[in-house]
Order: sequence, then structure tokens, then C-alpha cells
Amino acid sequence: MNNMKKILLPRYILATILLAWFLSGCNKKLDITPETFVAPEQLYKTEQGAISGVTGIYRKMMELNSGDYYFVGIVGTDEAKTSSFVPTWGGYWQHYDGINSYNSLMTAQNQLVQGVWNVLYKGIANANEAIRYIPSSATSQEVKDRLIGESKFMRAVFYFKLVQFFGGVPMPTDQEDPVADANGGKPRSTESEVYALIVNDLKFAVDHLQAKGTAEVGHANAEAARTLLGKVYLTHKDYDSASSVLQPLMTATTTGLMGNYADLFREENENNKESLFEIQYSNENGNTNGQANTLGAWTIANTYPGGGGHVVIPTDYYDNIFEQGDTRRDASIRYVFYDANGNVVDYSWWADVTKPHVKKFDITQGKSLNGGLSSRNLYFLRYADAVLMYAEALNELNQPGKALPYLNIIRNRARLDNWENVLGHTPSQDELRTELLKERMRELGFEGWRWCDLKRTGKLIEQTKAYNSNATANISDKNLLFPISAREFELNRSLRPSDQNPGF
Amino acid sequence: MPQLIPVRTSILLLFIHLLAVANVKAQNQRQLRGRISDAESSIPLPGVSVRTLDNSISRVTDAGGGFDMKVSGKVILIISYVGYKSQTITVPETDTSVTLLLQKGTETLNDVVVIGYGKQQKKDVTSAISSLSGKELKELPVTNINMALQARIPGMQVVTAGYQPGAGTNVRIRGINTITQGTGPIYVVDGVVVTYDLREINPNDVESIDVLKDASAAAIYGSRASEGVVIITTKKASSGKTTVNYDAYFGLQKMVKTYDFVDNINDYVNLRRAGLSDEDPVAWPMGPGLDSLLFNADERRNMAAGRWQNWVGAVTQTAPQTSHTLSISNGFGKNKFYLSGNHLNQDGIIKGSNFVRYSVKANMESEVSAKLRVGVNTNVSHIKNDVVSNETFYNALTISPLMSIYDSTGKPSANIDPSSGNLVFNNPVTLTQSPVHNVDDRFLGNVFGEYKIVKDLLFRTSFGVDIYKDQRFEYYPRTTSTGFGKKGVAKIQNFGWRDYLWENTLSYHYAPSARHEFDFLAGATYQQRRQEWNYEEASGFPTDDLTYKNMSLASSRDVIASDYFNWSVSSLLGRVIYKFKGRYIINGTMRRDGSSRFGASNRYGYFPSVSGAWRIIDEPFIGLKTQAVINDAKIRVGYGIVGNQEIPISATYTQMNPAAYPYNGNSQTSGFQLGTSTQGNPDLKWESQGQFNAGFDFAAFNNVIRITFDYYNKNIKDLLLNNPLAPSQGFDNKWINVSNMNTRGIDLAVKLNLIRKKDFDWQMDVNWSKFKTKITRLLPGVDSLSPYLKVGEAPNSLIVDYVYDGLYKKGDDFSLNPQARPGDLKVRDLDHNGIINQYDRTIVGRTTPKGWGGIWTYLRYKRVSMTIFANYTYGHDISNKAYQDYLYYSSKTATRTLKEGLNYWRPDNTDTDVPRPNQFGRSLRALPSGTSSFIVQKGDFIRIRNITLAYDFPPAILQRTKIGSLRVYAQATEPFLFTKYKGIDPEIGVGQYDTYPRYRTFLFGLQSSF
Repeated sequence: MNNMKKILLPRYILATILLAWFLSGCNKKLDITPETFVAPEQLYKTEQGAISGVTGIYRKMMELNSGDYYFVGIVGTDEAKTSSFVPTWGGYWQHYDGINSYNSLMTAQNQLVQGVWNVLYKGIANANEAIRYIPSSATSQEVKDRLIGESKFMRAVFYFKLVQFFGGVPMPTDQEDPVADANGGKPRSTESEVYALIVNDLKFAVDHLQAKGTAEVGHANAEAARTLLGKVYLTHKDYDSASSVLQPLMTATTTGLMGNYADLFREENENNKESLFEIQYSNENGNTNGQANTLGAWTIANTYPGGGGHVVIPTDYYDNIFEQGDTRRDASIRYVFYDANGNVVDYSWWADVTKPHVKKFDITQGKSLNGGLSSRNLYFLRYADAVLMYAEALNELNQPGKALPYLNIIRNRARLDNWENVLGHTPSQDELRTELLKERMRELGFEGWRWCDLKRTGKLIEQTKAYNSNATANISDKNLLFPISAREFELNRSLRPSDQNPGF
Repeated sequence: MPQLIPVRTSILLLFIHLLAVANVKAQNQRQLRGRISDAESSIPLPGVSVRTLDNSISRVTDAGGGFDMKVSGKVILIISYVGYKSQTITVPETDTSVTLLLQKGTETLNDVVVIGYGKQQKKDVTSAISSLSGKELKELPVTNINMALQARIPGMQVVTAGYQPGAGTNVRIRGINTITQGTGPIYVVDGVVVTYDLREINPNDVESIDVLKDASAAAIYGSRASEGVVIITTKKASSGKTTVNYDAYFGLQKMVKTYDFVDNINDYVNLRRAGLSDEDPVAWPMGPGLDSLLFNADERRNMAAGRWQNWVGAVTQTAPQTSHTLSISNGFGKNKFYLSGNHLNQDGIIKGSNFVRYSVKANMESEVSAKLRVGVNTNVSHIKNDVVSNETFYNALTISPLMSIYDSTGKPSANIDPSSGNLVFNNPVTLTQSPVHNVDDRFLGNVFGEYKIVKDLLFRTSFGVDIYKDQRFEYYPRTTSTGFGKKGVAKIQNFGWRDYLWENTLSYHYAPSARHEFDFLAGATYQQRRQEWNYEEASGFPTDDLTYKNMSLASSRDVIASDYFNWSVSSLLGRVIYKFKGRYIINGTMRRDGSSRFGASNRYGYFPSVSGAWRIIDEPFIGLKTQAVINDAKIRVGYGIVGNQEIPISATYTQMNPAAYPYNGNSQTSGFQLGTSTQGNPDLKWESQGQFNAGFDFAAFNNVIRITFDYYNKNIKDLLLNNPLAPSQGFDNKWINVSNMNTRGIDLAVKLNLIRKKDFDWQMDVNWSKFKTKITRLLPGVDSLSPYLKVGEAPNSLIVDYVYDGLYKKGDDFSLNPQARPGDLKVRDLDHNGIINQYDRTIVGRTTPKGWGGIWTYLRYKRVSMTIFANYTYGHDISNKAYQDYLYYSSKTATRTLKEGLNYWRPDNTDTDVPRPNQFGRSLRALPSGTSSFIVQKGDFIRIRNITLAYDFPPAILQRTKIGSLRVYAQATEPFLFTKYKGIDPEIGVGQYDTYPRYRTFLFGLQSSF
């Protein structure tokens, strides 16, 4: 036996060494990364990757506004309504009717309401991933700060829409959240918690984004962040902060009003001096929006007979709100349609032809291939908005005298006399408040802010009841919030049925 | 039973000798010579293993079937040989020679069972392993090995994916093991772990198949063993024997009539008229006046001429099937080889479909020295499989029999509907002319070396590869609906993988005394796969003549796509088998797997098992009298943990997709956004299954009856589930492991040797399996994720639909369906809220069978034998939408109607379940989804799989030729099916439309050796 052992031992050792060598080689081979796609943790490793990740968030912003979700916050107000055909189309279009008329189809199952909810959160997820991974990118602190600033700006845009439409909402700030995963989602945060996040994100953006003109065209800039922060303060009724954050813009040299209102809506003037942040579109497949079609613009080359949707049209109230001589009316409203050659197109067979239609999204003179695929950019924030908000903040601080000149700046550009001259006296705070709300419609009609402006000023129910005949019978106090998506309630076990907004 | 010459002894005597042997003391040595031959042919058998009971001496017979050994006193010899029944004989002290006739047979206690990374005698097995020999496999001329296992292995469910030649199989071992789609068991071919169907392997080349059913057996394969392990051992040369085998068969396949449709013009035309007239009897009064509305010009011409078009006849044929296998096995000297070639050609009963296989198997091994043995096993195959579109048979069944099959020039008709500008229908005859061409090449094999470091310590290394390439070519000419508008569509797909597997094991046998015996095994393995796929699709060809062969002719390149991935598994494994006194056996295994499919934190998993067996029959307290009656009694108990790593590749990562954004107008800047659907989960881990198994083996009355019974209970936890996320999570879903499931069941196999006479044999095998699977947890606090996925029910098994409540009659309450009319289908308002909506659907059937099994019987009179094999399944439901479509006439579904559909509802014929015919399908308008429990049918069936009549030529005749043995047989496969199910097949028809008809095969074959 002893002999045996002597022979055996070295061989055992040899076998063991062989095994050990074999194993050590193999365990390393278990690190296999995907080859046909990139994961966020890989993408954000480099500066180029981080930039393209942030581009993805812009893309989400674009997708949010490309289709019908753009009109949540436009229709169902004193400014815009659906055309009379819409309720008769059935199916999906009934949901459109729901958000305009606040009828029984304004429910948690409403496809547009659910869709807006989904897309906003998809944008937030992209922003959260960028904010999570950019700090470890191989790039300079300056670039990181700028990229995080852009990401936070857009996250604020998404949350700001959510908090205005839905109130306090589930508020993920990091996509890796085991607790939320286990429960299918997070519980609702309070409105002030959401506002706190938005304010923080925007403050960071104001500090770290480049100024307009320095920042690359199409990217978020410091002026846009400042304007949005002003709007958030204003919405939160923090007028001191609103006026102080907007004030520097009033003397800014990087931005200002365009001379002629109509020039704002020419395609060749995209990303102009007055534009602070606009959603970019181009004449390439997948990079277009459908607004020209939805708003009834005629196709350029008549590729699609019958093209042009006329889904959304202005209310009579909007049409009639312009004073004599206001150049904005012609730039905003029209009754006739032209083809690419300038010939009038007969649209008489279609609904509401005698009603006013929106002109701002017209593509007859542009580059777009057809009405369904508009290459026109969409304004999100422009300088005129900041000016009117500054006036509103000052007026709410009970300084109508200081506020009035800013209203007049906007009026004068529209070739109108100072308002006190038309009015015949110096306006009171109340008069100015009412006028500013009207002025915002004249100036910013169909640019996406009406529902929020009305809600902020407490006029949503009153104005809509009065001037949107579809909604008159239905709108009530519960409509200050939209219902939270039914699918959210199905899958998010942190939510109890009682967490739904009241009345839904 | 063995016939002993000259010693003829009974079982009782044998046991007495067995007991006596323990007391035999060493006596003077003597030379014992023996000769072993085949009992039937008397041909000497070389390569037979002969050993003494105490294992001290072992021999292999030479070319003349002879052996010799030095023995002392009375000895007990154990003789075993593959394909023959093993035998134990007692040689008295005085005898110096022994002659033995071995009988062909399959299973006895001394058979060897292949377990993972080793072999074990069947009597020592501690877990649930079922085996099938190559001989049993050959009984059915199947093209796919799995189909030969159908209903032969208790607990294993094999269902063909269809009747089209080359169709794959779906295999499930011991119930449902996963919520997500599993891939079925893993297959281990001569030690190489492979996945996917094994239609590349010629069943003739298989020596044995061993199925590791329970976790204590399968745990040695760790993370991939949760759906069981099928070990396939291919034929090796036996020592000292050169044999040439030639097996062949020729068969004819004939379609089984599928539906009893209305088959005369008069009834057919009247039904269609009735369908339109039903819609509005005033506008469309019943009569020939409707024909111009209902029938096109072609149909009206055929109607007038009385030409009934047999569409099914035009696409089907009586199809031949042939197979030839030639094998050479040579085992003289230190080098052995087995070489075999196979050619199989199966034409489909639908024209255009076809399966051809060429395969070559070469297994070689060489004893380089007393310590070193090296060898190679390879299987090379080439498959050509032409597959006709699923539409072919369905269209042939359902197209109006008044439409012309061929146009005036004799070409398949391709009529264009003037209103839509598209083809009126996809002519099935055209479809048979443009099948999908699949070409598969697979190389499967390994090289190995075994080195005996010292006696009983063996090092083995094996390097295996599995190279698979699958090409798919399609062309749809202008005469098909796919190619019509696009002017010809061509598709080419390449798919394939390269696996390699390197395994190193050390095994050590240690028997310190007669009472204690140990077997140790330790090993390390590494396996890696590289998988690739690419696809191109183009359209707009100047001519249809060149089909897909020159893609550059296409005017439009429609799709170009590709995909790649790797995965790897690195493992350590170990096993200890301890045998005490030969009757208490304990088996412990452990495997550690590391898999690249999981994130770094959950990369490694441990899969232990322990099992034990108690051979009660060998206990001293079992008296002789009992042993005279009972031949075997053994209890087995085991528990093991196995895993399932089949998560979608890269599910641990979040995917980013290209996302352009046109900053400042035209310039698109490329970016990336999160893929919107699935969020990566780096914390994913294996599904883990703990399975308890308890069973017994019992044999009695001279092995006339042998029973194997197993009960199992498995708890599967951390089940992978694609969890839908709330929209606020920013993703649609995420793979998580939180669900649990329980499956318990029993497997029973009874083997009866009812009559064993020289001239008359009757054997019977019966097996029965059943299981019940229940989801025990889905998500915390969530009992139902969808109507189809519920706690307490099996996954992927529920038929959820409205409850059929008869036909509406005159005077019924129509408030649920104000538009309905008498003769319409009615369903129940389960929640009594006055409307029929999705909440009125409930579970109306379960597709998982309650039980299944097989009955196999063998009868022999002299040299003529007959085998009958049947399988059965019961307790499952099938949602048969096709039946409803055929039962009542509506142009919305199929214009063909069953004869029983003529008994439709009329005001004067209300005692029927056939709805009134309606051109627009309105008789179903009470059903929001068009279906209800009306279409749920019982799937119970008994199927005679085959009847074989065989004749073995007597050796006396063959001796004059050079033929060693010759057997001829005639066989009918699938001759009978007994079922109440009204579709094509109750086994595969799960609510599918009819894609390929069932058929019978009558074949003639021979098996010969030289």
C-alpha cells in the first residue's frame, strides 16, 4: 500500500493542477456582453455615447409631440376643439372627443390620456438613465454637467406636464429600483414633491446649460431652462421667484422678439432669435410630425387626395379675440387652403369648412413631402412667452404698472397700440390679469400652453364652459385633473383604487 | 429464461446456489471452458462479457463465442451481452465446461443503465431512469428519434409538431416545468450536451436511450436539467466480431379522410343560397336568382356543367417512403470501429413536401496501451426538407369546389378579382410548386482519451463539437398572393451555431472490503455556443423562373437582418456512490454551474442531489420461499435540485435602440434611446426545481410480471416570468424570477411476460403517467396575471371563452343581443350585468392531459411474430375553431360545410346545435370574439401506432447462404385512431387550423446481418 501511495500522489497532484488550470481559464469566459445592441451601461462609457444617449431623450420629446398627444392640453379649452366630425367617427376618435368634451369617454381608459402618461414616463426613463450613467462617462466635468443639464431640463419638462395634468404622480428618478419592481411601480408622490424635483432639475439646468447662441442649435439652453423655471414658479404661485428668475431675460442680448409675428411661422425661420426651445423635425422618414395633417393643412403635391385631417380647429372665441389690426390673426387663422402652386383647394365636402382653421402649422411653402409628414419644428418655449410670464408675475405681485410695458412690447410687435391707450385708462391688476390671459392666447395660440394657462389662472372650468360648446355640458371641477391611466392601476400594486383622481 | 445445457435448473435452485456460494471456501483451481451462442440461430456470439459474481474474474468471448478461466469450487457466472438478456448461471464444482444459449431480449436486472458521466447496473440505480434499447427503437420506422420514444417512456410526453415530413417534436418530461416557453429536455449524445431536435441522427445507429427523469438523476447536469435529460448512446463495435447489417424499408403513405364535407353541387349551392337569403329573405328570396350575386362566372360555368372540383385531390398523393441503412462493425484487435450510412427519403402526402436525410456515423476507438484508450464518435448528416405552406391544405379544403383548379391552358388558375385587383385566392396547387426549401447540415461528435492512472483510477477527457447550419430558401412567384403585387418575393435565411464542449473527469472505484464499495467522480466542463442568423428578403423579379437563386435581380431589397450571440457554461461536478453489502446504495451528486446568461451577481448556481435504494429482495430475512415467487423488490428515494437557464439571451441587459434627432433641421444626429419594451434585469437567476422522487421496482413469478412505479413531487421556484410593468416604470415589462409552481405525478410501467414457450411468446408492456401542475405563486399578492395565467392552474393550458348556451329560439329574451335572431349562438351573461363583454369569459377547458401512456404487445408463434403498439391520452380539451367554421355556412369563414351542417336551424328544425347559415357570419354576432365553449371538444383518444408482422428466417436455411440472420416484416403505422374529437388529430390539434392531413403508412422492410 505504501508503495502505491508514492506512485499515486504525484499523479493526483498532476490531475489536480490540470483541473485547476482548466477551470481558471473558463470562468473568465463567462463575461459575455451583447454584440448586436448596446446596453446603457456600455453606451454611456464614452463621451460620444453619452451625447447619443441624451439625443435619445430629445427623440422622446419629439415622439411626444409628433402625433395626437400634442393636443392633450390644447383641445378641451376656450382655444381649441375637435371638428364636428370627430364624435361620429367612433373607435379611437371617441377618445379624442373625450379629451375635448370631457364627456363619459374622459376616463382612465381614454387612449390619449393613457398614451400621454406612457410617453412622458418613457421620456423620464431615458432621462433617468442618462443622469445615472453620465457621471461615470469618460469625459470632462464640463461636458458631463452640460449633458446632465440637458437631461434634467427634459426630465423637468416631462414631470411638469405630468404634475399639471395629473397632480402628484409616481416619481421614479432612478430606473433601478427593486422596491418599485416588486410592487410593479411606485406610489404617488405629492404635488409639492414633484415640484421640488422639477425646480431642482431646472436650477441645475440654468447653472450648467450653455447660453443661447453658444449652445448648439436645437439643444436646450440656459435661457430656455430659466423660462421654464419661471413658468414652474408661476404655476406654483411663487411670484417672487418667478419674477426674479425671469428678470434677467428681459435685458438679455442672446434672445429677443422677432420683428414680424408672421415670420415666426415660416419654415426658413426655424430656431430663430425668439425661439428658446423648439422640438426639431426634418424632412426625413421618421423625423416628421402629423400636425399639419391634424390641423387640416392641405398636402403640397396632392399626393393623397382628401389628405388633411381637420381634427382640431380653433374655437370661435379664439377667432374673435383679435383686435382690429392685430397682425397675429392673419398669421394664426385662415379659411382657405392652397396647394403648392398657390391655387385654392376646394374643401367644401369636408366638415367645418366655414369655420376658422389654424395656419401656424401650414406646410404649403415648406419642405415637407405631404401633409401627414410635416417637417415643421414645433415651438415649446419662445421669448414672447417669457415676456408675458414676467408681466404676469409682476402683476400678481400687485405691480400692474411695472407689468404693463411688457404686455405692450408684445402688442407693439403685433402692430397694436399700447393697451392703456386702447383701454382709455391705466389698467387695474384685475383688468391686466384678464387681459394677459387673453393676450397669451393671441400670442401663443395652439402652441401647447392653453390648458395649463387656464388651470394656472383658475379659469379652466369657467372659460371652457363658456367658449367650448362641446365641453359646456360636461366640464366640472374634477376636470382640473385628468384621470390616471387605467393600465397604471392594473399593474402598479403600490396604488389603491382610492388613489385615482377624484371623480374618475 | 435461459436454457441451460447441460445444466437445466430452475429459478428456485439458482437462488439456493446463490445463497450457498457465500459459504464456499477456496478449493483447488481448475480450468473452466465455455461457449456462448445465440439461442435462436445457434451462431456463436463473440464479445460477450462473462464474469464471476464477486467480480474477481472477467472475460470476453472470442470470435468463436468461447472463453476460459481458472476457477475453484462452485462458481456463479454472470453473462451479459448487449441486445441479449443477461444470465446468471451456477457451475457445479465438478464441471469444467459450460455451454450457454443467450436469448435476445431487452431488460433484466443486470442491464447497464447510462447515468450522467458514467454507467450503473440497473439493479443499483437509485433514481428514476427509464431506458429504451436500440432494438426497441427500430420497431417503428420513425425519422425522428423522439417519435420512437412516444408512449414508451413513462412520464415522457412526445407530441409531433405536425404531419408534414421533417416536422419536429415537442417533448415534456414529467409535466410542465416552466411558465415561459421551455426548450424541452437536453440531449446528451455520446457525452456531448446538445439542444434542439435530433432528426439528424438515424435511429438505427442508436444503441440505447436512457431518460433521466427525476432531479436526483438529472442534477449532475445542473442548470439545464429542469426539463429532464435524454442520454443517447450510439452503437459501438463489439469486440471480436465483424458484422455487416443492412436494413431497409419501403412504404406508401395514404391520406386519412379528414372531413365529411357536403360533396354534391346541389347541396353546396343550396347552402350558399340559404346563407344569403337568410340575411334578407325579401330582397334575396331563396332560389337560383341569387346565383349571380353569390357565384363568380367561373363557378357558374362549373355549376352549369356539373363540374365538381376536387381540390384536395389536386394537392395530395399517395407518397412513397424509403430508408436504407448499411452498417459495418469491426471489433478485432485493439482497434474497433462502427461505420454506418443511412439514406432516407420521405415524400409528403401533400405534393411538394419532402424529407431526405443522408447520414454517416463513424465511431472508432483504439487501445493505445493497457492504460490509454482513445476514440472518436462522429455523426455527419445532411437534410433536405421541402415544406409546403400551411395555407396549402387549408385552402384545398375550403376553396369553393366550383372554382376551377386549372385554367384553360392547363396551368393552375390565378384569377384576379377586378374590384380589389388582387388574386381571388392563393391556389394551393401553385403553393405545392413553391415550397420552402430547408437544407440542414449538422456535425456532431467528440474525440476522447481515457487514461488509467492506476488501477480503478481513470482520467477521461473529451472534446465535443456540435456544428449546425440551417439554410432556408423561399420564392413566391407572381401567381401566389405573396408574390402577386410585389412581382415575386424571395427570402433567404441562414441560421446556425457552433458549440464546443470540453469535459475532464476523474473516476475512482474503491472497494476496501466485500461489504463496502465506493465510486467517486469529479469533473470540470466548459461549453460555449456561437449562434448566428442572417436573413434577406427581396422582391420585384423580372422573371419567376430563377426563383431565389439570383437575389441581385430584385428591384427592391426589402429586409436585411442579422443576429449573433454567444453563451457559455462552466461547471464543476462530483459524485459519490456508496454501496453497502450490495443492498444499500446511496448516491450523492453536486454540480456547480456558471452561466454567461446571468448577471455577475447570480452567475453561479449549485445543484445537489442525494438518493438511495434499498434492495429488499437481497435481505437475508427474505426467505427462500418468498424469493421463489418474488424476483425483485427494491425501493428508491431521492431528492435533487435542477435548474433552467433558458432566459431570453441578454435579458439581463436593457437594450438601447437607434434614435435619430434632427437638430437644426435636416441633419440627423444619431442617438440611442431605451428600447421601450423590456427592461434588463441584472439580478436574474436560474429557475430552480427541487424534486422528490420515490419509487419501487418489483418482479415476481419468474419475472412474468415486472412493475416499476414512481411518485414525484416537484416545487419549482424563481420561475422566470415576463412581468408587465406599470407605465410609470418607463418600460413595458421586465423578466423577473418570483413565481412558484408545483407539479406532482406518478409514472407506472408494467411488463408482462405472459407466455414463454419455445414456440409461443406473449409479452406485454403497459405504461401510464399522470401529473397535475399548479402555479402556487405568481407575484406577491397577485393571483392572476391574465385570464390565462392564474394561481392554482397550469400555465399555457387554459381555454378561456364564453359559455355556450344553445341557439336562440323564437320567444327567447333577446335583451343581451337585441340584434340576434332565432338560430344564432347564445352565450351566458356570467356576471348578470346585462351585457356580454370580456368579463363573461371563463375557463371552459384545459389543454393539459390528465394522463397518457402506451400499450405494447408482442406475440410470437415459432418464427412469425406480431407487435401491436398503441398510445392513449385522456382528460384534455381542444379549442377547435375549424370545426365551428365547417359546421355552419358563412362566407366569412369557409364556404365548405360538413354534411352534419345540413341539419341547420330552421323555424321547422329547432332541435339542433348548428346555427342558421348566414353569408355574413351574423349567426355568431352574440360572440364578441367569434368563439365560445361551443368549440371546445374532448381530446381523449387511443391510437394504434403500429401493427407489425415479422418473419425470421431459420438459421438452417440461411446457413446455405452467407446471410447471418434475416428478418422481413410488414407494418401498418397509424392504422386506427379512436376519438370523439372532430378535428384532424386530437394530439396536435390545439385550436389550429388544418395545416397538414393525417396519413397511414403501409410498409415492407427487411433487417439482415452478414
